[in-house]
Order: sequence, then structure tokens, then C-alpha cells
Amino acid sequence: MTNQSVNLAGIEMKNPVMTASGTFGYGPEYADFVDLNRLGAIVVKGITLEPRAGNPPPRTVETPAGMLNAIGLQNPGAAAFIEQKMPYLRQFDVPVIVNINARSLDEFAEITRIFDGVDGVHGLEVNISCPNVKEGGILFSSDPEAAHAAVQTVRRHTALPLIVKLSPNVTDICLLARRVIEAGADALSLINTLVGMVIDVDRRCPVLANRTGGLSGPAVRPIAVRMVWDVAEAMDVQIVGMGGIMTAQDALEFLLAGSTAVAVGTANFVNPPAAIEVIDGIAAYLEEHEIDDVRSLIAAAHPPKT
Amino acid sequence: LKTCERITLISQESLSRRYYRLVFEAPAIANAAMPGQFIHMRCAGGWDPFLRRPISLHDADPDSGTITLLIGEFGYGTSLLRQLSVGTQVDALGPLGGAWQPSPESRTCILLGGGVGIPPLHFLAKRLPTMTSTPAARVIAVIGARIQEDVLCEAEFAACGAEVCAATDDGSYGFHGTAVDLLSELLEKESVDQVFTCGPTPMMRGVAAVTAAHDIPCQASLEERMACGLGACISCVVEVRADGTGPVEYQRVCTEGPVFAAHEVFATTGDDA
Repeated sequence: MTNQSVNLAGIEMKNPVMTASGTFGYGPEYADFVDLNRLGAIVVKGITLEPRAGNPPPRTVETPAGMLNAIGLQNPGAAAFIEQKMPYLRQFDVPVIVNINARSLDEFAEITRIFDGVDGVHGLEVNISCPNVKEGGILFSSDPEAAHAAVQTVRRHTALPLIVKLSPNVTDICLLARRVIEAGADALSLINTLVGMVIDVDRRCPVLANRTGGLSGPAVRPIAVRMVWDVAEAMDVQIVGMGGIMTAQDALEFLLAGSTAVAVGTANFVNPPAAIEVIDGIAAYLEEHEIDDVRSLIAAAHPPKT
Repeated sequence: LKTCERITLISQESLSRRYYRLVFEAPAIANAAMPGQFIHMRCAGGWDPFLRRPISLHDADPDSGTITLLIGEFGYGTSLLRQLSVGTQVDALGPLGGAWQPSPESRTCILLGGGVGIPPLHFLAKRLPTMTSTPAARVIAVIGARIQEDVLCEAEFAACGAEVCAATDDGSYGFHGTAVDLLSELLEKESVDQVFTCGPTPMMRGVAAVTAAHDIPCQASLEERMACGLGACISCVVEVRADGTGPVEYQRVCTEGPVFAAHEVFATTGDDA
């Protein structure tokens, strides 16, 4: 019997495939296309303490093999999420990981207190890397000390598994990674989107109302794989690899680079059953190569350490 | 009921330099579709172009299991769709979004549109007789275009039992002026219960203003850059004011729309243009 399950930061997952925050709504949006019980975990759309209206449109634009988005964290706020969205998610046998965002340490403390102990919440993904909000994301993502402080604040207010989502828009991702692990992170999500811009040459201005947006999709995959590799090489930490995973083959690259789990993101927009296809494709790969445990693939592309 | 269906192109027809019509075998979508809904389709195999394209349904026939699309070639995706050969299969999600909401009591309805705004209105014209109480409501279709060549689907609206009026900006055909100008004239002499509009934003904004001035309920079908089409990505938002006066909130074209109460999405006073 082949084992596909992994334990990520204490979260038991049936398989290593989760949905990336912001690409899967709160679950019901995809229920016509995806059996939620089959997923390794669901990471919900980013939540803030108070409701956020989000950025003005246009919020997305297509790019070669990808897209830019600048949603601006539109969400109903923590209390409304727990009241309106969690009852639906509790019906399923799937770990729910809540992506939390904040503008200040006080807000991080407060939103963590709110989610600590909420029935059905299995872990928190601490988003210190949203590129599309002026306050919060950019500050916490680019300064290792600010990132450390944010994660330490969250850690002090919960015993839930903490996965910290890092930005690729930094000079040295290993430096950030090390500081958030020291602050108590149990795992890292790599990577958030890369800041980009598309200009409308007829109107002679940026397409996005926010001007810049986060690039996702297959266009970023080699960068994401390289960053997972670098962090896995530099330190002993569990990683959720993401960035342009469309197929099982793409997911396998991330596992081999050093990810314990992977997240399917933008692919959900293009191909709603993508996550299920990735799960089935990994199972087929294991069978074809007579590998009895998916965990044996984690970081298997790295040369043996001497 | 949303499905992900492999749909097969069974016919294609060029209507003008810019506009063309495609008919697909799509039994699941055809069976469930209501006027105003759209499908979210891939334009080719592979990942180029990367995103799907939302296309309004021009018609859906549950008996033949077919859907008809009327498409304007405005970019890369719609130019690829024009090149599809009969027999090609593409992947489509649908039907998505909400439908037009004609009141069963409406006795006279105006359907006003132009360009790629025509399809959802045509589908409505076709089904309106079954959506209003008997005898069927009188339907006036107002078709706007810059030039005669882009006056779309006159005969098709007439075949649905609609009275058809065309307006061209250059006066080359029908009423000389915009469709909104023609609407103003019509409302002076006709008693109209509901107006449905889809087309360029300035046209719909004008329709919203004229209908508000006559106190006639109006629904508008909107579009915005869209990624998932399923409500997850929150890309395709438009500003909505409850009752036209409430605070602005962002609603999704793909989920709360594409049909909105016109006075809630187009301020009828002020200078928000």
C-alpha cells in the first residue's frame, strides 16, 4: 500500500496537495468541481481582523503563462468568516488552514487570539508577504526583523501550527526564512507572487488600478522551485512549495526540491479540478516508479549531504 | 448547476469584419442555461492564452443540446476562437452567473444593446414570452451601432417576435444618433415597464440615466476582467450601491452579476464618469 500522507507542522494530510490562499475562495466556490474531502488541506482566502473592501478594478490582467493580481485582500473580516464560512468547511474531512494578514503587531495578536481555538481551524498561514496592500505585507515581508516580530507575536498567542508565507521580492530569502523560524514558525510557504506591471499602450497607463500586481502562474515556477531548493539546502524546515503548479509533474518538482507539501493556486482559475488532477497524478507517478511513500521524494533531488 | 464540459464546434459564421457566430454542441450547459448567463471557455488547448474567456450566451437550446455564441473579435482570445475549425473541442464552464429578472407582470419591455452586448439580450428576447404572464409581453429591441455594418441580429430579434429599431451614430442606417437618444424618444411615446441593457459602459450609463428619469426599472449586464469565473478570485468586481444610495461595495460580476440593477451600478447623479 502506497503512502501518500504527510504530516505538515503537526497537520495530518491525506496527501501533500493543498489549495493556495486566494485561489480557492472559502471552499464552496469549487465544490461543483472538486471533492473537498480528497484535498490534503484547504488554505482559505486571506482574512484580516476587520472587513476589507479591496482594491478598485481592474484587479487582474493576463500575462504570458500567468497573470497579475492586485485584489487587495477583499474579505469579510475574521468574525464574519468564522460565522459565515467555517460551518460549511467543518462538514468536510479536510484540514482548514486560515491565511491571516495584519497591518500591525497588535492586529496580528488580535486576529491570532480570535482564531485560536476555533473549531475546525487546523493551522494558520501567516501572510507577511501580500504585495498588494500598502501597509502590512510589504513592511513585514522585506525586513527580517519586522518579519521576526510579526511571527513572534502570532506564536505567543496560539499553539496552532504556524506556516509563514514568504515573499520572493527580497534579496535573500534564506535570511527571512531563518528569522521567522527563530520566531517560532513551524513551516514556510514558498512563494507568494512576484511584483509586476502591465502597461496598456493605447491608454498609456498601467492596466491595473493598483498599477502593480503579483505575478503567478507557470511563468514564476522556475523561480519558486529555485527558492524552495535554496531554503531546503540552507536549513532544516518544512516547506509548502507553490508557484505555477498546473500538473502533477510540476508538483513533483517542488517535492523533489524540498517541499513537504505543495499548493495548487492559479491553476484553479484555469482548470477547476486541477488540485484533484495533481493528487491523482502524484499517485500514478508513485505507482509507476514503485515508490511506496511520497515522503521519500521530499528533497530527493538534492545531492546527499556529506 | 455548474459543469465543466467539453463542447464541440458544429458551425461558424462570419457576420461582419468584427463579429462572428459559433454554435457548439454542449448538452449540459444548453439544458441549464438561462438568459443573461455566460460560459467561461478556453480558446485553445494548452496554457496559451492562459486564462479562460467569459462569453455571454446568445442562445441555448435544450432540445438540440446546442449553445450559440456571438463574439466580437477584439483581442487574442477572440481571434483564436474565430479560427477554431468545426469539430474542434474546447473546454467550457457554465452556465455561470445570474440571469435577467423580467417581472412576470411586465407588459412592455425594451431590450437595448450594442456590439457584444447583443447576445444576452437576444437570448432574453427568445425566452421572454415564457417568462412573462400571458399574453406575452411586447418586446422592443433597440440596437445601437457606430455604423450600419455593426447593427447586429435585427432579423433574429424579429424572429423572436420583437419590434426592432436600429440606431447608428453616423445615421447610415435607422435612427441617426445613439441608442440612448432613440430610447429617450421611445419613452416619450410608449408606456414601458422594464428596460434591459448590455453594451459599452457609456451606453449603459446613458440608459440608466434615462430610465431613472422616467422611473422605469432597468437591469444592466456588466463585464470586468475575470480570472476564475466562479467567485473565488474576486477579480471581476464592480462598484455597487444598495438602492443607488448606500455605501459603495465591490460585488463580483461572475457571481452577484453579471446582471445588476442599473441604478445600483451607475450613479444617476454626480460626476463619477
